[in-house]
Amino acid sequence: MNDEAILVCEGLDKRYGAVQAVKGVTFSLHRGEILGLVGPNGAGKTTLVDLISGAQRQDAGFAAIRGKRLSGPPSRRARVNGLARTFQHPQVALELTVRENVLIGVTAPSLGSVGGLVLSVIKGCLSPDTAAEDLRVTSVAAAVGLPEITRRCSELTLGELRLVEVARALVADPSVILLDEPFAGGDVHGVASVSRALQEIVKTGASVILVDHNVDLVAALVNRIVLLNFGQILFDGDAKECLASPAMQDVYFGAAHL
Amino acid sequence: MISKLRQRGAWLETFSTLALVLIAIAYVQGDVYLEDVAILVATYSMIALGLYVPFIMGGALSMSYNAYLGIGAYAVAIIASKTGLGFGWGLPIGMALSAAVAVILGFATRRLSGFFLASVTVLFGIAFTSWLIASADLTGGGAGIPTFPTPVVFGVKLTHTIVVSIALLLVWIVAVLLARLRRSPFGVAVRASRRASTAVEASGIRISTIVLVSLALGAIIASLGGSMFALVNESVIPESFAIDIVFLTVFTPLLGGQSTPWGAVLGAFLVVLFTFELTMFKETGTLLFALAVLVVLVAAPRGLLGYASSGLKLLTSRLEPR
Amino acid sequence: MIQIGCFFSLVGLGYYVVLNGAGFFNFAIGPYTMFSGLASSWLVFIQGWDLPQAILVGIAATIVLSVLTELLVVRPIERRSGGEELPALIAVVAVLYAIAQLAGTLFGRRPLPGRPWFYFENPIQVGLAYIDAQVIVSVVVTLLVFTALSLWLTFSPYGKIMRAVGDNQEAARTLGFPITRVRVIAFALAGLIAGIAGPLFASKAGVGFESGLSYSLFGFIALVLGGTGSPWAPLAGGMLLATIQIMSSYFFGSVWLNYATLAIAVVFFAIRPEGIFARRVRA
Repeated sequence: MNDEAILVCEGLDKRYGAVQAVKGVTFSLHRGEILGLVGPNGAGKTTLVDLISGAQRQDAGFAAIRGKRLSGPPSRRARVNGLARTFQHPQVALELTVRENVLIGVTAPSLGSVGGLVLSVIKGCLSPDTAAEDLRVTSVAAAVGLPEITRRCSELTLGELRLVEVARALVADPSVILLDEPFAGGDVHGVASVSRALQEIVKTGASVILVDHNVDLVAALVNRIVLLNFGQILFDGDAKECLASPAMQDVYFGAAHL
Repeated sequence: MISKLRQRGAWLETFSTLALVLIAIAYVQGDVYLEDVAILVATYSMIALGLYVPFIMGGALSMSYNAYLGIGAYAVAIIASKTGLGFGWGLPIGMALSAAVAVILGFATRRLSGFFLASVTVLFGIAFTSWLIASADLTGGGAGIPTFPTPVVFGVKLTHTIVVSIALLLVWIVAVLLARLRRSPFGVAVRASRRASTAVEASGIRISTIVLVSLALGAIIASLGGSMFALVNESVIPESFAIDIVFLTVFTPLLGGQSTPWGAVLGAFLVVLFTFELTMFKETGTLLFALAVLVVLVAAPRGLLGYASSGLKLLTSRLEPR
Repeated sequence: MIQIGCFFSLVGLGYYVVLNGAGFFNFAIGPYTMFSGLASSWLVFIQGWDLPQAILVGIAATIVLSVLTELLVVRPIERRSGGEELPALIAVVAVLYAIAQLAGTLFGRRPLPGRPWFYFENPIQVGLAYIDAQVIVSVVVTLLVFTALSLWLTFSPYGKIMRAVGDNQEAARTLGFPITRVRVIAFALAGLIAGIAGPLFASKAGVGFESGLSYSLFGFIALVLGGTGSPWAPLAGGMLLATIQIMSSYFFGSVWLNYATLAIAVVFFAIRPEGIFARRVRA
């Protein structure tokens, strides 16, 4: 990990009617870092993730990866800026196999434009088999903890579905990965598999924002924590310091919680 | 990665279906009635195959396929009878026009789904037939274009039999290509976008674009089917391209089985069987077909080939060494 | 024109009832309407029955068809497919087609005329329009049906439950409301409304086994145009649609009826799917 900022958020604002979901959020993610984004439910974490990924448009401020501002829909940010994301409720096509779901991550870049799509239709009719891509899918899936890629996703557990999402994100070789509430609804196995997946991500050199409301779990896995409540950053710094800080006490145990 | 058994299975499928199609071609040779049945099967198959990518794989029920069929048919008819160009130009022009119409319609309806999309596309199909009848200068109006000269290619006169045979072969080609397309990255992306569209979008693929490409592809296939239909009959009338034909064919892939394009072809064959062939069903054929569709939808959603392939898998899994 | 508007409104009202009671667009309602109209016409003209009995049989048959649709088709499929809308859509399109074929088989494939419910000797002239008895009957019956339904939704116990279910089905279910019973009632009511509408309007232009598709489409547009905010909304939507159709036919030619309907659908569905009377979400 070094000090080069790979993702920068500057003054992000988002309001829904009378509610300010995200207010003046400014922080940086460094290359190779695992950043924990924590806060109670309703703090604005998911909105912030949506703003970065492009699922929602911000009212003010910007985000940039390697100096290039993020703009456009999520598909553009994935292709152009190297951004990948997982979802709180895993978005996996259940009737397809693990291999097919992860394959989306590999092949998406070539399917990103009209010309690419037309070419892929022609190529798909003539030579549909994807030996090279399958190799990559197999190795990433195995590294993440999913060796059997021919299984149908409808048979997988919640934890395994999360791993499918991580594998799909990783095969695209992203610069930044947003992990949205990977521990929600999971059990001990789920936690273990997520932390193993994190190690794999770090090996590839990608940088991670790990979002969750369970501070203890997050603190054990990350280098740095950003604490969010009512849409604003209350703390940005070392994980251990964060746990002990007065801001944290307030948010999770004290007056601010009410 | 695909097991040896499955790869061998793909070749087996390709060759066995080719054999079936060649047998069918031989069977109908020279018998005008059988050839007419065959062209109906071929035409319905092409519509069903056109529906396969956007509807069965992509999950969007866009029903204006009678329009694409009609465009392909009328393109051939108009060019053959009114211009000096050879009839052959009708095919690519029909396909290009159909693709363009599909993209425009798809763009206008891009935010619609489900019942709204179905309604608008049905309305479009109805409006198309009205337009055919009203545009007498171009399309011959209600009477259609009664005859155009028998096409000649490289000095060979394309008889009824030859065109029917070509049409059946075309169905085979399209089905094989679609089966391959289904396995390919494009096909996987379309299938995933049905229920995990957020993820597909987040991986870098614009859903709206892939939907438009699917619709255009479907329209091109249907247009080709329409052109063949026109060539066999050497005439076109608006009634052949009313919205009813979509209602017949939209259920065929569901009857036959969704996991392979061959289900669409099988379903088309069954439709013709129900509605034309079996004389004891003359009056009630379409009703029986409709009821069969309902039964399949409610009780047997995987269609004939779906259940057949499960049976086959059960057999082969017992045979494969552990 | 008024008569057509009333017709579209009634079909739209049928959609409204099922939408509220079951959260579902019952596309088969056009064919129900057709079935009732065609059945009663067939009974009157081919079998020589008297009109009132024929109409009652038509209505009864339609209610049965509607309830069967829910019990045999919609419910099992919705249960099986969870969140996805597509299987239920396909199924109801199949029902639409099946009922049309059933009518064709039972009653023949030629269109039949309808019989007006009342006659008088000379039509009354109001401006450019000739109003005959059937137009007045149509208006009266339409208003009666709408009023009756409104009152039922507001005051009867099941009516109130249906409104609650219509607002938020999940909440209603967790609160223990009898969802399955409400669904059946909704489908039965829609069948009743369709059953009345069919014979009422058969006399205007006749009815054939294939008419159901257009009825379904136009009723759907009437609902979407009017919005889902109030049981009276489909009346506005139906009138508006009928006006636009008649006007475009009159000024541009009969083929423009279909073009205009398509245009309305494209524009309205994309831009304002909530319709004119948007439902106010009770916060």
